Amino acid sequence: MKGLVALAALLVVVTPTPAVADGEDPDVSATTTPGGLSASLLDDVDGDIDTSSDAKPSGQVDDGPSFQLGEAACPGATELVGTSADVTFCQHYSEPTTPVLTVGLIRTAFAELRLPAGELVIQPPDGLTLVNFDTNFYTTSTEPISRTVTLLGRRVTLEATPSTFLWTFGDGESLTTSDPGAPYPQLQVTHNYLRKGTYRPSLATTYTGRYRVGGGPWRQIPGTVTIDGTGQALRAIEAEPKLVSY
Amino acid sequence: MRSLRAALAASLAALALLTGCTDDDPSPGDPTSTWTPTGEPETPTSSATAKPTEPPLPDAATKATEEGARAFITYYWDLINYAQVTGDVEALKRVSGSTCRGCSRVINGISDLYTDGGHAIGGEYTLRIERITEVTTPDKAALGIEAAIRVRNQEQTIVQGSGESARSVPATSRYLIYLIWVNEAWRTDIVEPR
Repeated sequence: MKGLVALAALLVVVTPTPAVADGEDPDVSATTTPGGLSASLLDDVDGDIDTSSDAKPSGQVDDGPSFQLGEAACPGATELVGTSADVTFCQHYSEPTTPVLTVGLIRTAFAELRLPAGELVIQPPDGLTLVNFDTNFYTTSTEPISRTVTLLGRRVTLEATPSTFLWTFGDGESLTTSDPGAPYPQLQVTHNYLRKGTYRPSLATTYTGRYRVGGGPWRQIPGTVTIDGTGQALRAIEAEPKLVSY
Repeated sequence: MRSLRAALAASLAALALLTGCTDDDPSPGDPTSTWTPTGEPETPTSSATAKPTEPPLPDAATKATEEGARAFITYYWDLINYAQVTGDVEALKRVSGSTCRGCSRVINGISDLYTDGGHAIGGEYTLRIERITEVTTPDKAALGIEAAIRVRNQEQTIVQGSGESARSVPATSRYLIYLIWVNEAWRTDIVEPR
């Protein structure tokens, strides 16, 4: 009840509202601070609205990892990389003496996998194409790649799947697709070279990953790994009209 | 003569038998006169009268990527919109960290309003993510997302359990949100004004 009284204090009540019949909207004559209910709750950082509810978010266990406000939010709080805000990471191990196969170890192992660059196929072949023409690009490297590593004595299977493809055409243009392209006559990823010249198009493949420990369930590996491919020399020439006698 | 008439009568009788015409048969009626449409024509139910259902977790929001984080943040505000007009904060609780003070303020505030017999009408937020970056620790043990967002509410009527009501006009509010990827899912751990 105390919470409601405090909440009402935020609401500027100008006139008492008359009794309303069933189904009718109450005669609204007062205006709150703008922004809506949730915004006013969020903005109340100092807790002037004392909520008597002890409803606590989350079915998650309290000793799991979390982000918290403030530099000394918890013992062993770790600063974050990527932000200058006053937020730290609290990692609570349930068994502090046993080294834990953490996501950090998995991510590092994934990054160190030395995944292959995707194979780039260009059509027409043999490094020669025409200007103002749909030069076709695709890759055959689309299958997931599985590797088994040992981490902290456990057998961990890592699986990397090519997910996005960055086609750099060498003339300053590039394209990112989730489509790996396809061979002619399908034209999925094409590029038009406007000027004749020699270009070095290349393909960078971004892999997403998942892992399992032993025969356990598959889990996502957060983050991605991108492998750059080497360029292929490609000469774009102008088609010369040739008069053929007939 | 007689044989001809007899023959004629016989053939007429045969004809009558062949066609099966009797006075008892109903004549085939105009088809449209007997068909009547059954059932009510479908009309879209007005969203103001239909009870809203809890927004489901979109598949896109289950991915540990920046796109997944964007989808999750959108989902989180869909849950706030839903909780405001129903008082149902269960889904919000599930996806908020236990140490998230901002989350608690919203969850408890909405919960209190409805427990005391009040409710809210309208006030739906539209969300815009202004900036989103990945955050982590030096040993990569954590995967997090920092997002600077902007929300704008539609007009809202808040009715207290006492019957008092008030109106909240549209306005833009800005927040900093931190998501953490834990237990194969995103979770909101911080929501604070910025």
